[in-house]
This record gives sequence, C-alpha cells and structure tokens, in this order.
Amino acid sequence: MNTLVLVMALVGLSFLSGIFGRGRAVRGLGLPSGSEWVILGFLLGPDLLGVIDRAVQADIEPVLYVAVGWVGLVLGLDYGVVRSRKLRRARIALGIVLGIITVAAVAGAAWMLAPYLGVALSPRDRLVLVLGLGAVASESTSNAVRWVAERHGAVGPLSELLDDLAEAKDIAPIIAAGAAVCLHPRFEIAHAATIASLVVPAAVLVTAIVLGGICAIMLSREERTEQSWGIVVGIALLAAGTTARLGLPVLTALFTVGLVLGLTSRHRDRLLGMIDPTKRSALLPILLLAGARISPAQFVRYGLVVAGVVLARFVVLHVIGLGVSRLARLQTPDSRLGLAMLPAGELSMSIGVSFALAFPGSIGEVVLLSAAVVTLVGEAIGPLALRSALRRAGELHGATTMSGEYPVP
Amino acid sequence: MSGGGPSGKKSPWLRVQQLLVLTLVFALLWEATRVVPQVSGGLSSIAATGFLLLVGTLASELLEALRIPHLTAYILAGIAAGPYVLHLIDHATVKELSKANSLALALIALAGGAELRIADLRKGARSLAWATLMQTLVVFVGTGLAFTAVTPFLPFLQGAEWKMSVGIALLWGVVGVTRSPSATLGVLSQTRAQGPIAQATLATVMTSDVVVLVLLATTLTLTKPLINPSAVLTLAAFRELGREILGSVALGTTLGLLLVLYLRFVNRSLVLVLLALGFGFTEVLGYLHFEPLLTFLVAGFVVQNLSQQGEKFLHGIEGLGSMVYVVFFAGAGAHLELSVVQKLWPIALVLCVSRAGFTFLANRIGTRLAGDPPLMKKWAWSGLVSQAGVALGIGAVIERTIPSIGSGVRSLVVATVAFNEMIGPILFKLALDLTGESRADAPPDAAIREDGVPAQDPPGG
Repeated sequence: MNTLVLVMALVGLSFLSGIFGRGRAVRGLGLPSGSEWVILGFLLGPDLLGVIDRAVQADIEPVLYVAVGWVGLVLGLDYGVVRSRKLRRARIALGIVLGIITVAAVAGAAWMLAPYLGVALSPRDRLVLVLGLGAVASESTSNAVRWVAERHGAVGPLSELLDDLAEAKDIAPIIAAGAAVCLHPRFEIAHAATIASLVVPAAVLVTAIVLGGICAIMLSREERTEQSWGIVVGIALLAAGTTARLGLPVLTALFTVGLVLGLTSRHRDRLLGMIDPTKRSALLPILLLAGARISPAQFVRYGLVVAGVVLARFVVLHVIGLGVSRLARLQTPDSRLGLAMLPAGELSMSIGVSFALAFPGSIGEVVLLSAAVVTLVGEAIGPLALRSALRRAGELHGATTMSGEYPVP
Repeated sequence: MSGGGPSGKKSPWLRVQQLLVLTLVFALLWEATRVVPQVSGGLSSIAATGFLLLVGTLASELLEALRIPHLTAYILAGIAAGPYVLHLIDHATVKELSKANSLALALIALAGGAELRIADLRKGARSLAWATLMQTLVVFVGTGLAFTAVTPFLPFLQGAEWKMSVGIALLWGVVGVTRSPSATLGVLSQTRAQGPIAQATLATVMTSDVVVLVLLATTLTLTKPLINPSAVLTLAAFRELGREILGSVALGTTLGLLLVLYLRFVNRSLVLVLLALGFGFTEVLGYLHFEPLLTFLVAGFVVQNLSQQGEKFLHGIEGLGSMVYVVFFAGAGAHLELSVVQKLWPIALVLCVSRAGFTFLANRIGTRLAGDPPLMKKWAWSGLVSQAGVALGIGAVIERTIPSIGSGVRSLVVATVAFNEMIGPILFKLALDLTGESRADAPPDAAIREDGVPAQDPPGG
C-alpha cells in the first residue's frame, strides 16, 4: 500500500468514527479500548494480508510520533479532571500510589522473566525493558467506567472511585515510560553516567515545562479559536519533533506540556473543549499501526514473557481491587473488583508504540506486544467484570438504549 | 491566515513577552539541531512545522506594529530559520515541508473561488474584462521588452542567437503575467477587506490564473522553434490544454456540487474532508492531468454561488487555513534560494521595478477604458504585484523544456519572485489600509456566529 493511500485511509476512518461515534463521551459504536483497530491492523500487517507493509510503516513513523504526542498532550491537559469534575488531592495521591505499585510489581515480575526473552540484554536494556512492561501493564482506562456509566446508567461512589483512580493512575506509567526512554537518548553526554542519568530526564522536564509555559503565555491573551489552534498545534509539533529528534520520550514530554498548560492557563476548560474530541482521531493511527507492527511469530518468541506480564497484572490488580472495595465501603469485600480495573487501551498502546519507535528490535517488540495483549485481555474481561461489580454494588440503574435518554452521573 | 480579528490591545509588555518567547523557541530548535544535527525520515519536519507555525505567528504579531502583512512576516520567519541564514531547517526538511503545499494551494483555490460572488462579478464585469486584457497584454509585452533590455547582462544568454533571446523574452513575458492567488487571499484573509479594490484584485488574480495557463501553452508552442531550430510547430499542446481546462472545470463543478450536498446534509468534520481533498484529491487530479488550482477554484465558486453554504464553507476553510498558510508561507521563505538572489539581485530588481511599472500602466489604461472610479485608477494595481508559486512553476517548466539555458532562467525567476513575494503583500495591504477597505478590527467569530455557523470545528472532531 502506498503511504498516501494509507494516510487517506486513516483520514477516512477518522471521519467515519467521527460520524458514527458521536453523541456520548465514549461515543456510539466501537469498543472502549479500541481493540478492534489493533486487530484490524494486525490483519492488515505485513505478515498476514500485507496491506500495510514495512516500508509504509517506516514512512508513516512521523505520523505516529505526532499522534502519540497529541494523546500525551490531551492526557496532560485533562489530568485531574473527570467529566468536568476536579479530582480531590487525596484521590490523585491514591491513584498515583496505586499506579506506582502496579508499575513496580509488573516490572519486578518482568525482571525475573527477562532471561526467558531469548535475547542477551545489558543491565541498562533490562531496566528499559522492565520499565516499559511495567508501564504498559499499569493502565486502567477510565474509558471503560465511562462506557459502562453511559450505556448502563451506572451512578454511585464505586463507579466514581474507579473513574477517579483510573484517571489519577495515568501519571505513573507515563513517568516510568519516560524514564526508560531517557536511558537511551540519541546523543552522547560527556559526563559521568550518574550525572547523565539525571541530565536527560531533567532536560526533558525543563523543555516540556518551558514549552507548556510558552503555550500558556501565548494563549493568555488569545481569544480567537483559529489562533489558539495554531498555537497549541505548533507547540505540540515542536515538542514532539524536538524530543523525537533527540530520542527522548515524546509521550512524557507532551504529557508534561499539557499538565503545565492545564495548571497555568486560565483557558484550560476552553482548550479541553477544543482538543479533547480530537484524541480519538489521534488514537486511531496508533491502534491500527500498532496492530500492523505485531507479527504472529512474536507470540511464540515472546509468549512466555507476555503471559507473565499479564498474570502479574492480574495479581496486582486483584490485590488493589480488594483494597479499593474496602475504601468504597462495600458491604462485603469484592474479590473480583480487580478484574473491573483490567480495561486498558489508549495509554498502554501509546506507550507500546513509543517503545516500538524508540527501540526497534526485541525490546520495542515485546513491549508493544504486551501492550496489545493487555488491551485485548482487558477488553475481553474488563467491561463485563466492571458491569457485574457495579451491579453487585447496586450502582447499575438499568441499561439504556443507544439513542435513548440515560442518567448522566 | 491568522485571522484579522483583534485579540485585545497589545501592550509593550506583551510585545516583550512575545519577543522573549520567539527567542526561546529559536533557542530550543537551535540547541536541538546542534545536539543532533542529522535525523532520518520525516522527524525533522515535525519540529520544523511546529517551529514555523509558532515563529510565524509570533513574528506576524510583532511586525503587525509596523503594519507589515502577516504573510510577509511568515516569509521572513522562514527565511531566518531556513538553510541560508540560521540553518535551523535544512534543505531536506524544506523539501519535506513542501508536501503540505498541495493542501495549502487547494485551500487557497477553494477559498478564492468561494470569495467570488456572481453578483459582484456581474457588477464589475466590464472592469474585470478590461483589467484582464490590459494586465495580460501590457505586462506581457512590457516585461518581455524589459527582459530583452537586460539580456546583455545575463551570463546564461551570452553568445545566444537572437531567436533564442526573443523566445526566452516571450516566456519571461508569461512569467510577468503571473500573479499570486495565495498572497492575495493571505492579505485579504488578514485584513478581511471588503470593497472595490479587494473584489477587483481577487477577481483579476483568479482570472489571470486561467489566462496564464493558455498563454503559457501558446507561448511554449510558438517559442519552441525559436529556441530549438530542429523543433517543429505543432498545435497538439492546445488539444491537451483544452482537455485540461474543460476537464478541470467539469470536475470542479462536480466537486462543488458534492461539497454542497455534504455541507447541507452531513456538515461534520469538514477539516478531514479538506485534508482529503488537499492531499488525496490533488494526487488524483495530477494523475488525470487536470489543473488542481482551476478545479478547486471552480468548486469553491459553485459552493458559493449555487447554494446557501458559501459562508459556512469559507469559515471551515479559514479554520484549517489559518494554520496551513503560516507553514506554507514560512516554508516558502525557507525555500527561497538566497544564494541565487545574492548573485542576480541587480537584474532581478530592475525586472521587478519594470514589471510593477507596467502593471501600474496597464491599470491606468484598463480603468480608463472601463470608466472605473478614481480609487480604482490609483490603487487597483497594488494587489497584482505579488508573485509566488505559479511563477516558480513556470520557471520549472522552462527549465525542463529548455535544459540548455533553463536553469539560468529559473534562477532569475527565483530572484525576481523573492522581491515580488516580499514587496507585493506590503503594497496590497497598504492600499487596502489607505482606501479604508481593511476591516481587521471586526470580530470574526462573532460575525460567523450570527450566521449560525459553529465557531469551532476541531480537526477530526
């Protein structure tokens, strides 16, 4: 397939998903994780139907960098806000702690499993790998909660708590992924290793903060919609391009830009209203092209490690679920609540794609494959488990029709 | 173009802030290009696009105080960042960025067509006819003669036969007749000008685009035997030209009608439709050997004049165009071959001044014959000085058609366009400001909302 044809196809798919997916927060047709696009990409990939070959994948890499960056920017700008409601600090802190626990637990399991990868890894590469695996396995997408809330009218403290924690958790995997990519910048640092290990993340952080600040300053007196779009897109492209050029974490950098912009700009709500609807369009190429990068042979080669990562995620979320059910003051602790936190998607896949771009080879492949498997397993189990958990908690107020009225929490 | 609406009064402190931010953005890319000088693939074009978008916007805000048009500021920002000055954007990246030109040109042509209203054209038909005739005839002959006068100073024509010199002079006449729809639309978009000068300039520029197509084919056919004695005069080019023009008009009409239906019944995600047209449909037109500018121009014209969707359509284009035009003009600035300008600037300057003079003269004759008001006699030529892509395109055609001296001619075209690209928009904006046609202070969003068109159409939304 020609690169232009693929770009046009992506534009067409974005268009169709915009047309058919309107009306709700996790809109209309489609799965909450977007797994269907990953599977479609896998089928169209070079090893199956061969529609998206490797040359086209290489040509389209800049689009992926931009898409990943854009998702990061929206996540950063949106961080701490759930459906126009600001998260309480305690919830944010709890979410961050749970995120760190998940990353650490999965990374620990992955450290043990790394020798079974069949590739000799230096200690630094091993650290990169386990941070990546920890990052992709620690997302619990709030999309699933919103999906159940919208389609089945879920309202109550448990659904709110799950939604809040899912939102607040995002920061831990983003930082872990950023730290991993920072271990392999595209430039040499003429300092001792210990200094270098601090210089690179600091450079990312400072650059992102400066760009976020610039964006906030430029938008501070700007009321015109078109000009605002120009500034936000300009900053996003400059940040994504510069960090990609230096081999630094695009997702983390743009998340920081969005976070700084959200914290410092008085136009945050207006900006969110502008750019939040575009996240799904940016996700589409990520999901489709991520699927195309996965080959059937990888399942055999990395199967054990990926299975271990998924199992570790099950275990840690199960434990977290027990804690959350106590926190939500359920009458009886729900041992299956952890399963309700399995759904993943936008962040896991974005991190997976970031790794595939930053580390072409085994590390990138196994992290991307893990992200895809985590997303698919989460999609298969998560929404059902979430629905039954909310039903048990008495928060499900009956199904709503696709077009009918439903109680909005 | 960065719409002309106000964003509040600009205090000196705000200017200082903007200057600081501009410096910071330059410093960031400077450092990034210093640390990692070479990158593969399209990575450098991502940062370059963002960079040009930001510095173009900031430069236009800063230079607004000097009444310099935004698009001139974009071009200056591009020149400063480009491969001939600070080298923040290298040649390969400039080439990568030019891929977005098809989108920009599609938007420019669609907007150009949609700005032409039948009622206005009917009112000014007589003026338009005389202006087009005089601007073509006088400028073609005049710039051709001026070129002949400077021929002894052109190194690539030293020792050439007189026949060849005449042939090249005729081709130069065609280059002289070309205008810049993009620059015209750019200035009009910024100033939101309304009035006889704005309307007449737009109509003349858009019409001259079609005229140039015919004139180029005719001149190339006639001059081939002069330049290459072994070539024979053939009219095959006209058959091809007829097919190209008729096909473009037919396809443009169909596209326009489809857009009307889309705007009437779907009216969502117009940005994605425009992206698909700009990148995908332009490729299809190239494959069919149709003229994209003419096709999109007709499509825009159909939407404006055969439906009620014109204003909505124009607003949709403006939303995406405001970003694309910044990158397009800044990219054009980065693309300017300053080394060529440095070498040929005295001759290029003479040719530019003479072209402006003949444009002025043609305007005096045309407006007198049409019985236009004094305002038109004084200022209607000012928007016809700008030159850009079309002239460069003809330069490339000449280079391809006459390989022996074509590169020399192309270099001279580049140098001349560089001057006209810089001076033209300033002159046009000055005229619009002085005649009171500029409405840059009108709040654009409010006006649109009154028409019931949503103020936001997020890309992909």
